[in-house]
Amino acid sequence: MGELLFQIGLFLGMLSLGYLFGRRNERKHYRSIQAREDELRSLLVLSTKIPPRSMLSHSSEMVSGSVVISVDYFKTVVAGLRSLVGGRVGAYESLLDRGRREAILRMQQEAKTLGADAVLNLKLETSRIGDNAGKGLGSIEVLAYGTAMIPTRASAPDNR
Amino acid sequence: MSQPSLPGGNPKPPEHINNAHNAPVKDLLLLATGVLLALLLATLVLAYSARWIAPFIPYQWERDLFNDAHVPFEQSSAEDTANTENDAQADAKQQALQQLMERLTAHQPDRLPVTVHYLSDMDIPNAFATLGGHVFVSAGLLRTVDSENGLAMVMAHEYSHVQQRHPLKLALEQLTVSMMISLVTGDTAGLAQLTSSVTLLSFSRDMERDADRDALLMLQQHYGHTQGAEEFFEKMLDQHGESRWQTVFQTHPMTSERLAVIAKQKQVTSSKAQLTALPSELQIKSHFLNTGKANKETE
Repeated sequence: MGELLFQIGLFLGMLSLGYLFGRRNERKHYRSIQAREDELRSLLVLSTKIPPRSMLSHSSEMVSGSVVISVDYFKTVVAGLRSLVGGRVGAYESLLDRGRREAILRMQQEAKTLGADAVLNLKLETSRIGDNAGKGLGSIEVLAYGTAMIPTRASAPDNR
Repeated sequence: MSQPSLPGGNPKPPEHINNAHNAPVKDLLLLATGVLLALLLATLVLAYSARWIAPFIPYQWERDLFNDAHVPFEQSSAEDTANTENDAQADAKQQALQQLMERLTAHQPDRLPVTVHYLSDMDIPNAFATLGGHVFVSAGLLRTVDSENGLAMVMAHEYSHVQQRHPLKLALEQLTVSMMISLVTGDTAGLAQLTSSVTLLSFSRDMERDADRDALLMLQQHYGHTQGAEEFFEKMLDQHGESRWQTVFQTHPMTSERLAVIAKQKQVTSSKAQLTALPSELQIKSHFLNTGKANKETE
């Protein structure tokens, strides 16, 4: 009986810890994401493969950004229950949304240090990392990569 | 050829499309209650149907599946019990017990074969029936009873459990519940362990009552009376007494309640009923005196 109570207590404790910290982290992360997105808004990210005419004489370089985010216990439990009945797993949707946006931001950051004015041919990849949470999702890695277009002297507006 | 103009900047992604996770707690509570209710219902239905299904499973299947008697107690090593009998004696006892069981059940309709095991190292008076028709009798029980009738009552009781398929009913119920639990936790390893853990079953009060009733009938058939049936229970009452707590939580019907049933049955039988002495193989040294006394009292 005591053992059972302990197990239930542990479960509820981990659940609320996961919820409190997970929620707090997520809010904080979204605030940071939105702020940096505003900052880098002018550094274009496009999925097109063909460079626009204005960038024909740009030099190019591959840039990438990757992020690993861990699932919290609360999300695992909700997703586990969801797996019994099916439907949208909202808990994981926001997690992956954060991952994608963070990865793109990091890629943009790299492009910015190279002096690029755009990143073309954006690609995204997602993978699950390890079995570090038993049957749960564990951590996810999101990788964003693309071609940074860096203006050269030849492509300067006055030379066009 | 007009070149589409480049956007002035990246768009601001709308927050509510890819990130609609607004009420996670509500989500969790709704899912948890729904799933729990559904599982509870399914478990109840399945566990309840186990009682109906069990009698339709051929007894032979149960025998074959559990043909190795799995002794659910640790056998203590020979050194630490002073009164440990040697193997030959234990074997003789086991055979005598088996014979007693055969005699008792000889005239039962749809008689099911059972295997009797003797637990020579167990000093606690105890007997139980497990899956596959295995009946265990402890050395302590042989010491406790004074006549063959007392022992026969306990053995008939255990046989009745087997006859009514109680172990299988319980095992199916437990299997159902464990399956449900492992379904929720996703732990399939627990299911494999299960088959080894079902050997220790605790029957419900109703099952015990039914077994008592049938056991008394068997005694009546075999000896022509039910004298001595109360022996074991009376001894247990003497030794332990009965607290209120036990009556609420014990799965066995109250010992005194069982005694009352036996007493009621006895009124019907003639008063000159004779107790049968224990077969010599089943007597344990320290009890020669007691058996003699018991026989005298009834004469």
